[in-house]
Amino acid sequence: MLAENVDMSSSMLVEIQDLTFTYPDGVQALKEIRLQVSKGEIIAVMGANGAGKTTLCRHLTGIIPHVHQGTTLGKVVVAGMDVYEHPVHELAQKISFVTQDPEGQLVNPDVLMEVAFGPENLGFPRDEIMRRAKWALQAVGLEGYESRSPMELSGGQKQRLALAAGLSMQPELLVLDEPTSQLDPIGTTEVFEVLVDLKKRYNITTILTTHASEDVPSFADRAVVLSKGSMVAEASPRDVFAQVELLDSVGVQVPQLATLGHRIAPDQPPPLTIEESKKQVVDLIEEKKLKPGKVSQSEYSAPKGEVVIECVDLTFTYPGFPPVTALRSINLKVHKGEMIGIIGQNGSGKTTLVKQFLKLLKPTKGQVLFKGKDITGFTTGQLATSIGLVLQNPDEQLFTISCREEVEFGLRNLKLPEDEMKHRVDEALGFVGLEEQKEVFPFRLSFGDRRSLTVAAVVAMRPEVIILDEPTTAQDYLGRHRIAKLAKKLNAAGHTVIMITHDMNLVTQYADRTVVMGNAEILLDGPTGRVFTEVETLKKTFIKPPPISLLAKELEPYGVPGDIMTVDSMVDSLVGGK
Amino acid sequence: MTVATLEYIRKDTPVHKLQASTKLLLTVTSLVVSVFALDYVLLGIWIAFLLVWWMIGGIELRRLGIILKVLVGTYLFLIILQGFTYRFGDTELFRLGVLMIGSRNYAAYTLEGFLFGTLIFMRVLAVVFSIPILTMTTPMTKIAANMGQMKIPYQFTLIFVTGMRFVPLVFQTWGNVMQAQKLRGRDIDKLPITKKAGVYTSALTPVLLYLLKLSTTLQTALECRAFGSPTTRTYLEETKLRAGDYIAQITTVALAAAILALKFMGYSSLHYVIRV
Repeated sequence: MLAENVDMSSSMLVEIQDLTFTYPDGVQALKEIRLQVSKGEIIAVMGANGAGKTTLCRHLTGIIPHVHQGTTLGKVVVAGMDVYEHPVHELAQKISFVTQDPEGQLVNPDVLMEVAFGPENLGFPRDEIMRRAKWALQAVGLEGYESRSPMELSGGQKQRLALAAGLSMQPELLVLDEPTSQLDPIGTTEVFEVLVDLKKRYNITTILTTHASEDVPSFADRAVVLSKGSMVAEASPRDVFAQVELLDSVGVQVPQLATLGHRIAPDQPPPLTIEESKKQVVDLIEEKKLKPGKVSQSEYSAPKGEVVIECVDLTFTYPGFPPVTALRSINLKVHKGEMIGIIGQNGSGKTTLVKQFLKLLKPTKGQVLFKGKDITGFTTGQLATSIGLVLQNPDEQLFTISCREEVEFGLRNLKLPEDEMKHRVDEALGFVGLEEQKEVFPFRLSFGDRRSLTVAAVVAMRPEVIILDEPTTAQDYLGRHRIAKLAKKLNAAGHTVIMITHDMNLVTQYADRTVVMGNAEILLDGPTGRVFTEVETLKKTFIKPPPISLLAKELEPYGVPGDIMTVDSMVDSLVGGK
Repeated sequence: MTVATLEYIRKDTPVHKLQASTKLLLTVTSLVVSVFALDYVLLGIWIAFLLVWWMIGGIELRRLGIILKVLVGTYLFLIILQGFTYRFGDTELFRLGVLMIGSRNYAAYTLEGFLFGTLIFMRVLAVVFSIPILTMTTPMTKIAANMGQMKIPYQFTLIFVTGMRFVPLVFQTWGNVMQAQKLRGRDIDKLPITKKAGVYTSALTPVLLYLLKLSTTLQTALECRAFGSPTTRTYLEETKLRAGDYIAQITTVALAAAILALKFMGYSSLHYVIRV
């Protein structure tokens, strides 16, 4: 449903008129987009990968047509300037753009200079530049990092820095392309709080693309949904999230509480906060329409199988000036057949830990055992035949000329016969939905598909242990669940699976055991349901449980089990349990 | 040499307080001295002078060890090469056989060749030891600001600074690509050199593609932050020379001038052993 009557008041900042855009390779990325944005509004643009979100951002900032070319119909006017008629540096005085890849945006040798770079280019006096830089760094929680090199920062910190660099321009319009894709949950919430603060204090308008549906109601005035280049919904978050079937059909996640509301009271507006959801449920209980009962959660029993990976008093310090301790006295046992989620704030040591399993990093102290044997006697190549690790950045993990060859690469190292290789290639590409792209050059795939390809390449080797490091970064809702389901399927087939992620919904839905890391240590380790009841400890490492878990805690006095973690379990409980 | 060994470290020493131009002068002077004052004593004095800078600048001497460790291959190469090929070598220390070319046995290792190789290595040290004084005590921003003060167009300065920023990124990307190949069961470390070459070639594609993608992102980021704006740019860093800068510059130039004067007046500490 499109909003037909948009406020056309004089405070309008952005006007997009019938925008249609086609890239030089023939891909039509946007189709007849019409949108008006008033000063001070925060607009969340949602949609599956490939929906046209980034292309829209590029138009708003003049990157299209000034940096990327294509065929455009329609008009984009921002702050009274037609983006086609003004160079980007001129538009930049009123519009800031933060792209989704922080690495390529950071060009200065230290954090302070990075944030000061824009205002310096605009020729502001030194005092003003310092004031803006300090304010921007404080806004994103990076004060105290002024002299650090951007290279030393974690992925999440780099993303915050890129945002601060945009903020320091103090623009009229802030355009953010997935600004929280690499942040931990509380870090994500903090960034959105900054946007609301900017709106209140400076009336700054923000248009951002995001997959973080759970957070959208807390900051956005309006939500826009794109699908295959077309705008399929535009309204308040509540009205958009009420259209559950539509969102499901275009691959946009509906927040858990709205999903629950739709399941138990489809005729009511969707609740978007814990309080609203609690009130709705309690009202329905009091009206005797719901009767909470116990549900049989998947029982977690302490692992008994063979220990495949064991860390004994493992400590690791990154050499440098000064050295940084990333792991401190870690003791961990991974048993055959487990499905483990590893969570924790940016920079808590998660990736460093799994790199130790394959000798990509060597312990400063302690040891890592694979099936009881110290791994120091093995090479990484040998270990990789038993432990498959998919790292975060797919672009550094693809090195052949077709998807088929990419998957074959590892299989050739295993010296498998040709027919077996062919079978495994077909199977693995089918697993991740890339069977049709077998002969496509990997770098022509979308980011999400490139990531899926790296997963397929490791899965095809059928290692005993499969480790996925942030497999959901920059993935849309469907992509995230496709990979998580694949992991679960592999786990059911006997593989041990370890998944590092910031997506708490995935962890609660798929992981039997959860390890929580913070400050280079393991803070919690146990059944996922129990771990997510430790709200205060989770907070220490910037983790917040998914809304449905928090709601379950609130509804405990009404007979709802407090360790419920999924919408399905909550619905089961509310209809009498089973 | 790991890039981190030479990276800037924030400290509050007199050397840190100097302007980048003062330290750039030291680097350039080191190059001049090393080229024109090829002598044990003269180069030794200059190296000692540089080490005083190190101490005042709070640069840990353990970094000296790291640099020397990295340069040990260069030293071995120089003394082996010069030991067998130095044309004025008379004092034979040992021989591997006979390889006569003209009247010279190139299989004989000579004392003079060894000493000359050592002297060339000192020349290398006289330049290399000056680099950390610039890079470890001066943030790149100060270097950029000084380049601006020298009226170097900002576009060139930015190319320099981003180039410095991208060098470690190239190494990092390269390392990650090699790591990814190991993670697919390729035992690179155990491969023969001929096959290793193939591995390195295949790694080039993702490194180049990644860097190309990164450069497009960089272009977008620069344009969006008003780079190229016709407004006169402000430099956050102060570039004014202070008393310390004048003292350091005068001392550097005076010592270099004295060393070069001695050299040009014919001073040579080892002329009786080797001819230069």
